[in-house]
Amino acid sequence: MAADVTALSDIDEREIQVFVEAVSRYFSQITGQKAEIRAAFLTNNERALPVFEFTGMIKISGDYYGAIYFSTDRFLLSRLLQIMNEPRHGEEHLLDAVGEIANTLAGNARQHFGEMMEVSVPLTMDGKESKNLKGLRDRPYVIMVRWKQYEASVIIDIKRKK
Amino acid sequence: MAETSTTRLILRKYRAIIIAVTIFAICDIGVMGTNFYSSFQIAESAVSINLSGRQRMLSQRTTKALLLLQDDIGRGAGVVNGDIASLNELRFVVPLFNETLRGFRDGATVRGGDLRPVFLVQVETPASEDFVRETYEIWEPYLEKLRPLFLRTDGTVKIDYVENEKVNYANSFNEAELAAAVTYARENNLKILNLMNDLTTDLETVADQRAVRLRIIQLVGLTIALFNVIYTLFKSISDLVRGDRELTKARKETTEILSTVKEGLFLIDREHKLGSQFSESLSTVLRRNVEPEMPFLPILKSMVPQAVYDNTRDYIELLFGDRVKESLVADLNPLNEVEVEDNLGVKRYLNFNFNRVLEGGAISHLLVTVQDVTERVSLERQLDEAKDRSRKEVEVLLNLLQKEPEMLHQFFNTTKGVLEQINERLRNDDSTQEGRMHLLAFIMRAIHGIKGEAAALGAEMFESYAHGFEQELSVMRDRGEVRGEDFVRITVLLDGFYERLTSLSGIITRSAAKAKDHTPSAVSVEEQTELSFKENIEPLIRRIAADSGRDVSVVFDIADIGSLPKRIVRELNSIAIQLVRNAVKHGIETPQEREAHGKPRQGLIQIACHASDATADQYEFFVRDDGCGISVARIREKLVSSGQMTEEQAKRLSAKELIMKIFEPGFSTASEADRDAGRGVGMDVISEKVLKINGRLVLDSKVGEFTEFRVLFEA
Repeated sequence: MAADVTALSDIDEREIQVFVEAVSRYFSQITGQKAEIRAAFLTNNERALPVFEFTGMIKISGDYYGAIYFSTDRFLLSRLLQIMNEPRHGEEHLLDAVGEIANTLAGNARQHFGEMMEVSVPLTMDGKESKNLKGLRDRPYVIMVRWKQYEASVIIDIKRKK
Repeated sequence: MAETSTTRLILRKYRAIIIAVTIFAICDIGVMGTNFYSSFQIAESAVSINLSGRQRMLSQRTTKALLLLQDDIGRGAGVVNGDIASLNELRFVVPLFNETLRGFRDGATVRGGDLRPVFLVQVETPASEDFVRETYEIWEPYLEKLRPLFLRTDGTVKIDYVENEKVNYANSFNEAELAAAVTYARENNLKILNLMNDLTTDLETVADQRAVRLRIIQLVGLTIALFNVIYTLFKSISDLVRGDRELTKARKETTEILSTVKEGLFLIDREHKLGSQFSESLSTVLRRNVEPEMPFLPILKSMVPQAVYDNTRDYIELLFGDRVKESLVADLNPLNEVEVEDNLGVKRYLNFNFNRVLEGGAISHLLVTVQDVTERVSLERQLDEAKDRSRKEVEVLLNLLQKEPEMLHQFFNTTKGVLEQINERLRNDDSTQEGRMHLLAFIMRAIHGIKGEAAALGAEMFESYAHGFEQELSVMRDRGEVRGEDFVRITVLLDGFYERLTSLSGIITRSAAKAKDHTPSAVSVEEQTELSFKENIEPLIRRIAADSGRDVSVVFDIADIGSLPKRIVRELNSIAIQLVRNAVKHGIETPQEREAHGKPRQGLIQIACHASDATADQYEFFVRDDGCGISVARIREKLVSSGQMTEEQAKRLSAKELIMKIFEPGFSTASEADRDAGRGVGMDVISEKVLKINGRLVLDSKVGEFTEFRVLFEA
């Protein structure tokens, strides 16, 4: 009997990998060290999205709709700014840093999906603003990535138009 | 044939210019011909005018010579030897005048100005003819009177001049004869002079007319030629300008088309090189940088597997050869909806179409169209999947609607619970490799459990999905390493499972609504539990037996099961599912094998559950088959062949230790994995379930006779 494991869900593993790889590549280009997938799970939409203190988001429209998030804490962002020779580590700069990673996601999405996906400019949020973020899918994908000893997450919450 | 049509095309296109050039050539030849002819005539006229002028002079010289001769003779000059200048002069000029006059009348070769022979044409105009005739009328009597001067010693008279003729004149004329000639000359000298004058004038007029005619012809011819050149020039330039404009326009349109079309469009020649122009989208569609004149095959080679590449090369050769019809080989196109992989490893589907381009009847190029059909292909696949899913959902629905709502609900809750557990474990993964392997083993057990439950429920959709899920997990397990991206795969599979479960919840609601309409059952709760248990297990045994070519009957003795707590019944159910699966697949032999061993063709499975001790709530549940039993030798062999142990290590294990191996994750004696056996997870699941109810598992088996699994537990 043929194995029937085609994901019923409207998004594909490869689509998820595009975003995760974009993040991974960003870290390896900026810091010379890749970010690796530590874990992946589904979150329940009845709860708020599991985000860290700083979150960058890109909105998706077109054939797909929803949003992609990159979220992490201040320690990772500070370390990143340090590597980039940015001496200022204020709230604002941390938000800029998370925004830039979201921008990388946007760039990759545009390049990869072309006309199928319209991608917004990145939006950034601090902990207060992202506290009650709700997903669009029943079970958004959460991919935990690790860079050095730091943690971050990529949340894929997009649907394909029927 | 093709060449003729090309020639015809060129003739039509350049007709105006060809006609103009032809007219020019005709004019030119006409003018040249006329010129040539007229120059002859003018030369003839010049001779005539010249000689007619000479006639005037000759007539005067004749008269003068006559008078001088008369004078010479009167003064007593001797005539005997004839050596008198005037007489010699007469003998020279008279023949010359005479032959020239004859030439004017009849057309003849005469001595010209330098006394060399020249052809004098007959006069043409009536006036000239009259002048010549009148001159003759005077000249002939004149010549008669001059004859005595030309008398030769032999008695003949010849006026005509003959070259190199030695003439001996008689010189016998007398004074009277001379006087008569002189008299005649005096009378007519002026008349002859006038007539020759008139002839000259008339000849000059004719020559003038000829010259004028020639000039007119030349003028007309040259004017026509000039107009022709102007016309040709104008026509050619305007054609060129128009052609250039059309070419520019066409080029602009081509460029516009090539920059606008979404498809990749390009030409390849016989050397498989790209043309100089191609659509701008080509690079985008191919996701490769494309340059004019680039060889096509290396581009393709980097995109498709070797076999597809080889086939395409042959296909292109086939199209360039003109033996086969394009439409007949279209189906052979290996690049029809071909899967390609770009640098990032992302798979897409491209559609390449090849069309022959003919030039003068021969295949010069192939026009290649490339489209990115990923969206279409994936939509088609999604549609197929959706259809398949709908079909399976209907199957599930039909199957499940016949089940008790309670059972469905139980399956839904159990499965959902298991999925939640998996997700929770994924969320809390400790990211050590060892932890991940444990997590993987846990997920495999969980999914295997769901597979069994789904099979028992007849929910094929869930069973096959769980089977595929397990297959993917076993790949990771066999690799001995769980990678970060494996988690993404597992999560996607998990999400798929959730979605299937969501579709089931709708069915449960409908099924529950249906159940409400039914009149309450007359059977007791205990009897109901017993019935459900049988309904769960019996069809599963039948299906597995049918799938694996076994003939099996089953006997239940489970009256006591109704009095057990639901929690325990659920676990026993799961245990029974795994055990009967093993019993059919690994225990019961095929009917042929059974016959060969002197057993009945039909195998027997007994399932029983009863209190073993009426006072202490001790129960036992067993599944027994009369199959081949557990062979220690087979377990040992399997351990060695799968590389888990060396032959030495396996030999050292006791029979009990060997049998215990079947409860370890990943052990299976089935040679190929299918949905009913082979992953080595079943026994693993049983151990886990037995633990859950704080039970003990006892195994009894005899090779060639039976296998019995006994679960001892407390209710």
